[in-house]
Amino acid sequence: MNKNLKNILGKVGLYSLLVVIVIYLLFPFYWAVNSSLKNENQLMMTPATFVPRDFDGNFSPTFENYKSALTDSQFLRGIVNSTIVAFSVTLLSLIIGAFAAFSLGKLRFRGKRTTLYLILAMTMFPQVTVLSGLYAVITAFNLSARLSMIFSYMIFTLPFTTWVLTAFFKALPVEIMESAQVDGATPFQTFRKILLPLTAPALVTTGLLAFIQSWNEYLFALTFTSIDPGARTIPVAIALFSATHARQEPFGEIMAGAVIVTIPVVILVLIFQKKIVSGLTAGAVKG
Amino acid sequence: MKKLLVLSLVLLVSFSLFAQVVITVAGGAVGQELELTKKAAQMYMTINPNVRVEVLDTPDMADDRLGLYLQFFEAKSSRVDVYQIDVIWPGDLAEHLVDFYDYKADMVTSMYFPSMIQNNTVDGKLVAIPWFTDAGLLYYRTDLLDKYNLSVPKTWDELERYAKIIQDGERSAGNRDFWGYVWQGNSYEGLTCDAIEWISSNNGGTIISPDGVITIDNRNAAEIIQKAASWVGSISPAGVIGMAEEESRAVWQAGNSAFMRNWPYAYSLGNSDGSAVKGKFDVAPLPAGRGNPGAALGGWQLAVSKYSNNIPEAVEVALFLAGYEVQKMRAIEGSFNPTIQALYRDPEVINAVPFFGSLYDVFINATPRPSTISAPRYAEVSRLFYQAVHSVLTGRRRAPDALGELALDIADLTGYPVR
Repeated sequence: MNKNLKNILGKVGLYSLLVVIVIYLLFPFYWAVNSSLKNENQLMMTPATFVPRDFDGNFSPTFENYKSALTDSQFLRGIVNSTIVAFSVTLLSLIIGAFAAFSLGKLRFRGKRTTLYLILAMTMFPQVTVLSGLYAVITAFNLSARLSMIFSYMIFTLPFTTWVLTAFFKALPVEIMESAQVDGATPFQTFRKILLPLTAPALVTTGLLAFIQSWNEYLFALTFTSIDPGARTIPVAIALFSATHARQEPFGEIMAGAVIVTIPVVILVLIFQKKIVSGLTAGAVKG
Repeated sequence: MKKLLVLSLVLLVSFSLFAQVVITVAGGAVGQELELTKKAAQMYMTINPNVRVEVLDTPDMADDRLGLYLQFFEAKSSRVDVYQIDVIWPGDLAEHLVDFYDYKADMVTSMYFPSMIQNNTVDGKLVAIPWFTDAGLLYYRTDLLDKYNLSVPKTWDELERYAKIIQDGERSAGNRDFWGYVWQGNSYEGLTCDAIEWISSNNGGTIISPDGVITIDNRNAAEIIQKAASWVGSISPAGVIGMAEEESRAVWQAGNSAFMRNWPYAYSLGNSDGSAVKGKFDVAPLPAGRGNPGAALGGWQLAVSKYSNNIPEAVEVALFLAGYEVQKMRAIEGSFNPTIQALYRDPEVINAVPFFGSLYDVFINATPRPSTISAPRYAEVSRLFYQAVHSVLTGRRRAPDALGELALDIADLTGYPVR
């Protein structure tokens, strides 16, 4: 009896904790969806309603915000730009990161530890502190806005990718490499044909995180595209949504835009779900 | 013979192509604004086929736009001939701009509002021509004034009293979210506009006088700012010290305030379908204190770059765009507020946008911010000013102390004498 009660109490505790966590994580997103379905007057209603309602209290959502977001040329151009930038960043960081991680994790050379910490040190500076310096560099080299975003995002995606992949390569048994060597494979062949396929889960996980980071990045994008509005990525395009009147803040459209751009990320996560889990755990528990 | 004919024809065509002057106008990029500018350019080209007017869309945020313009100016670029500039920029940009008076602009200046011409005149040079404008207005609920048998407030004291009566009445009738008066009290440029309206309407000057004397440290100014501070938490929500235009409009348009200070844009939005205040409000000049009502002047001007390759043509284009015909078209089709006085009495304009009729009194009294006299330090002067006012609104300091200190700070910054 006593044990049973304890069990039930434990379950109740667990589930109420889960509910709290789910609300904590999902409420902002729910509120964005809710707001995106309201027109301006519904947004201003007090007290705020949990679903879009008209003045008589009837449920009346509007899809106008989605329509105007999806017909906004700046928004669509933003999606294209973000796709270009985020995919390039992901690809470049994975390629460079995998090479670096292989040598750092599996090869022996002097200054390995120093290199690792140097890479880590790159992530120590907050974005704002390097921003003005980067801007000066970009104008000095006369880089286009898209290129400068790609290069500057790699400042924070590359160290991360390198570190996670290094841990992963380290965890792979040396025997695999040795047997490959016995069979006459060069280090590059070992890397390319044996180790890389084994690291697929880690590549997917880090790649996805790099993608999300560069997809959502705002500060660098805002700064670098200030002179070239055509290169604006999606977070900037959403923030700079303009309404019919110059002073009007199109809150509903902003929310609709925000909801729309989370969809690609959600889809990507769903596709790679299984790999992510194995990627996250693989570094921890050696098989 | 035939060959010669073709050759001369080709030459003729290419010559006429070369003869065509291209004038580039850098202007607003937001939907309708861009469309109407393009339409106006087309109107000009129909009359002047030898000139091609192109419209360059620029970033829609004012600060971004200024940054872009400065790049062009620093490089002495001839890429853009006509610039659309904010009402607070003429002083800062004057050195790069053409004096319209050199191109016979004195023939037309009298048709514009004098305060705008004054704002755009730097050292006796007219560096920009007013294109469309903006000024602070008092929005009031006609239904509530009727209900409580009140008239439109003419003074701040009346506003305070009426707001209190309506607020108390509406709250006891059940709307606990109701407030008397909402305005822009956040620490930003908008507060400079609101505060300069209070001060100038109380005979307290405009921070720095047009002849370069710092006048802000005076009893009238302190009195009215202290009064505004007393509104916070009484007739205005305590959160008003964090409100910008859109936050105050949100309270107003939900039907939760009796009065609002805002720009003309809130008019058509307040009358949109589903608005809680649709058809229940009107606009009037802001109330006055000891003097005449004030209204902070906003809006955009057209200026011609000194680095243009075709200055006379560019001036002509700018004057055409800011002329009667184009402004009328923009007023009717886009509700852009004209800068030409007569347009507020033009029957076609009044017919299309009825509330423009009541705006004339506002624009004739509009108060420019001291941007021209304090150039190129206006942004800093304004920041010092709104921070000082904000410190009074939050109750951290008393107005006389804050203004005394402010006058000295501005003197340090600009070198102007304090009076």
